[in-house]
Amino acid sequence: MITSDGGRPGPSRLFLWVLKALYPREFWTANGCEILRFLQLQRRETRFQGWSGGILYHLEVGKDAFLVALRLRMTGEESAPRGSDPKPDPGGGAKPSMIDILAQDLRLAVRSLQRRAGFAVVVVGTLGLGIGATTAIFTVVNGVLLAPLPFEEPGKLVIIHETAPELGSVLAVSYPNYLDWQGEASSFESMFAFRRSEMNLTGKVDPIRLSALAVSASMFDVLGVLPFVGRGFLANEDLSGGPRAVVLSFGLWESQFGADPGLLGQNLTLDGLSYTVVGVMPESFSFPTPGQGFDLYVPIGCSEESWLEDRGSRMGVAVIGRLGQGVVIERARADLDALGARLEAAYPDSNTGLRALIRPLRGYVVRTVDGLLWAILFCVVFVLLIACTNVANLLLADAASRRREIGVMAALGASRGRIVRFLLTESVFLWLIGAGVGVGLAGAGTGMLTRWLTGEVPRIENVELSAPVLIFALGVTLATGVIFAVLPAVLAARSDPQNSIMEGGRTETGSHGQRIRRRLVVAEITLAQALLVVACLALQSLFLLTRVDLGFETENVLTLRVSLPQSRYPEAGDQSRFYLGLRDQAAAMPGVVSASIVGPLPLGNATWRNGYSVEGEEAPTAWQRQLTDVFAISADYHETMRIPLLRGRLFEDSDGRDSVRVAIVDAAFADRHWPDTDPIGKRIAWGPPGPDADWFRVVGVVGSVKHQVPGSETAVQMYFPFEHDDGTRFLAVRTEIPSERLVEPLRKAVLDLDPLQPISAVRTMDDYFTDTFSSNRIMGLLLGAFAGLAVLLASVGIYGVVSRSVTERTREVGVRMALGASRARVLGSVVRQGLAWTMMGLIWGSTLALMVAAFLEAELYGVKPLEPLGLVSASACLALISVLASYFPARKASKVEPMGALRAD
Amino acid sequence: MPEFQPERFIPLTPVTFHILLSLHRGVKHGYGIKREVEERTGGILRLGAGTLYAAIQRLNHSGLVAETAGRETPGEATNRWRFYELTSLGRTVLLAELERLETDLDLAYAAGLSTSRRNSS
Repeated sequence: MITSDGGRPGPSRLFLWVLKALYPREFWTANGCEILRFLQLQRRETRFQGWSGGILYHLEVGKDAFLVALRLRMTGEESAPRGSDPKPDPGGGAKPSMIDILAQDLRLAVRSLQRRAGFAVVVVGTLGLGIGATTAIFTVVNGVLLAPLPFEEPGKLVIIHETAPELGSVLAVSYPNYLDWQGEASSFESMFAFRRSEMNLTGKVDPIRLSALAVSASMFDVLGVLPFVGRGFLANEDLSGGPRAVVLSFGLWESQFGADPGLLGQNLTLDGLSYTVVGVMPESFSFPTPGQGFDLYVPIGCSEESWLEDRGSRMGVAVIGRLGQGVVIERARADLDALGARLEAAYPDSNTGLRALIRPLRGYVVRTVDGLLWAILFCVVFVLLIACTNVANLLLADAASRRREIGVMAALGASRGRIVRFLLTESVFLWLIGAGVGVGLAGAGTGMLTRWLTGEVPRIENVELSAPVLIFALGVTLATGVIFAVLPAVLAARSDPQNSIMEGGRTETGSHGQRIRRRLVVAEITLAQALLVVACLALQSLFLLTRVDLGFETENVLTLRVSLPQSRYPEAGDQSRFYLGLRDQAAAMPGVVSASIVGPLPLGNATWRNGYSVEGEEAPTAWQRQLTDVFAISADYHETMRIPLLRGRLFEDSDGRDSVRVAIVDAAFADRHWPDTDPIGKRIAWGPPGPDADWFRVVGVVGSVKHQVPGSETAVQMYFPFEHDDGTRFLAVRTEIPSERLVEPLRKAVLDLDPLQPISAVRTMDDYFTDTFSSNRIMGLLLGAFAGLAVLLASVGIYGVVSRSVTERTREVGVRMALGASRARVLGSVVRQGLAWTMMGLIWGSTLALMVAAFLEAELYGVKPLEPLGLVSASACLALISVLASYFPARKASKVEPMGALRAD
Repeated sequence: MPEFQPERFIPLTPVTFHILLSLHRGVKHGYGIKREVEERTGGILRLGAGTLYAAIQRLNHSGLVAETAGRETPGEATNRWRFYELTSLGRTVLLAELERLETDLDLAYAAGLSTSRRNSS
């Protein structure tokens, strides 16, 4: 037996058995042992190491064996030398093995296909495209949507936000509410809170800006993930005033500290404060969205910021819970709802109308792409079905045109079984090659998709050829093979041999074949119509998106992000002095038209939303019911972004910290509260109105802007001078020279102001704009590509079938014209029949399209699934194809001299 | 043993040519042949087990190569390889092929066709 030496496996026994079955017996007897040794040594070559190397090895060895075995069997050159030597007697009349019979049929099939190379290429190409595209897309769907998350018992993990059910909006969690849930909700085994932030690392290395995740100490237990070295956080490190600890990501540990184990226990300066390194996470760890890991992890509770104790503050916190043993998500929901009601009674100011929103973590992670991916998978399955329909058509037509040949075979005494086997071998052979081409294409396609979708689709790095994918590919291949290769063979062999020879294929195919073909055409039109309509919707939506009026101009605006740590800018006014200095330097640079400060940045990932009240209006019962998007800006911001001023005035530098608090609102805000009066001079405040409310006086009204991913809920907008609040700010610069020339001067300006201050995210507004629509773009391009492929395949198929059935009616046309029918009348009747089939397909197809579009609804911008443009243009396109497909052959048929058609054999 | 007619075997296929070439300087076993061919061609020609042994079998039958060590017998240690050497017929065929290639090359150069590699040397 095959033993593996050095602990490295040789080829598996199953694989060897396959090899042995492939080769002719004499060849294996003579060379088997040698080949085994060869294969064992070969397995150890460096390029066959690892998981992918194993696949490559089996593919290469398998291909080699298959080709050599086929040649040995087909040339009969089993042990004979090349040249003139006579063949030795093979085995002295031994019974031919199954594989010898198969080889004989294969030899026949190959010869027969060589004569019809064009036919073979079309069949193999069509099948290969269909199987390849479907498998590639399924690989992505499987990796992204179906594979479990890389945590312990991931099915029990849920993500919890808060929501105001009356508004339907999703809110971040207030930290005190989280603490209450954690203490009282019994359906959870454990839970932890997390919040994304950023920290400046200084001291040991050049100042850099790092992405950080603030987490509860319980994260490690909840996820079931332990640090690679060191430990997780202790409970006392997660408390305000506790020792400051930090856990690094593997990537940061490696890139910045050379994976030095001695780093444990040392101190790092983050945002100006000293943190002790207590651990390093494993390389594979990434949370919450796999593939988008954070540089470092700090305890969420250790900061001294006020939101930790303010129930009304929602600073981007979300909570992950692990459901207890045997607890279903509904029970957890009821549990937190009951708790929510108690909290509402206890803290009416902050908790009125609020409930927890629980969703399974996996669904949440992929929520942005699941509808999209399923829709694309649907569409690619349509392409596969169209491809298979085409192949079936081709095989049917091919079988029909060979009826005489088959009839002769039958007449010469070949049994029906023998004929079916011959036809079957041929189609199975074609289908196997097609499947091989398909798997190759799938491999290449998956690689391309993965590279292309990196950064756009969560969990894309999880996409790989895995067992479910292989099973899927095998299933698809088998299904297509059985339905579309076996069926035509059986149908073709069913014909009556005598008729076939006598009639010489002169008449139409029997009504049976006709009916099958009609169904195939209807099916093809249905699928093509569905795909075309969906692709039209996607492309229409993409088109609308790229020219959506944002309310501001993204061209020629360069932005960069600066976050000043509280610890180095402790005094009120320190931060604004820095930002104003930076703005003034930027504004003075040559090529700069206008420079200003803003936070958060429109189209950036963050938004700032606040409840508010208006002076003189009754206070809303729950402040969450009235939300506004908030932007902290400097003077000139509206000019930099080219947002039009509608009433009043814009901010000036004198509106800063020491003067009366002023605000600018957008047109929607003004329309909501002061539809009939002048908004200038009215007062608004954040939070509930009251004696201690801090009022802003409205001084201007500007145009509304679209500053978020299209489709997300919008709120009214207000602006206030940024000097009143500290936080992450962006410098936005409108330029009249190419913006990349300003990147270095701006970097230098920041370092001049503060040598310890890193800057990050130097990007143009156009970059942000493009990012915002990337998933729509991917959808549009993929669907467009598939629709194009589908229409191409379908037109070929429709044309082939329709024109063939018309050609077969040449005799009928001749008879009718001999009987005095006019040419126009005959033409009309043929084309009408084609159209009738088409109409049926179009109706089915449109219905199907609506069903698929329902999956896509969230991704469609500005178009309804029932958009007439797509339906009409897709229908017109397919109708035209089928009319042309019946018109040209019909005209040719009608030109035939009637007697000629009758006499024609 | 077939007649001594080297021209019957040429032109050689690339696989045959390289197998003969790798045996030209000594006795080798199957995997050794594969390794040498792969190294010499820089990985362009990678012989699979089936291709190699089918070719060797053919060459053996035609008398271009011969086995040198005894065949293994049942029960013997499995790591005893079969070794092959070039026969004098094989050497003649290899030289004849070389001559053919050289003639063709000369004809090509005489016709004014050459690659940049040759011009630079």
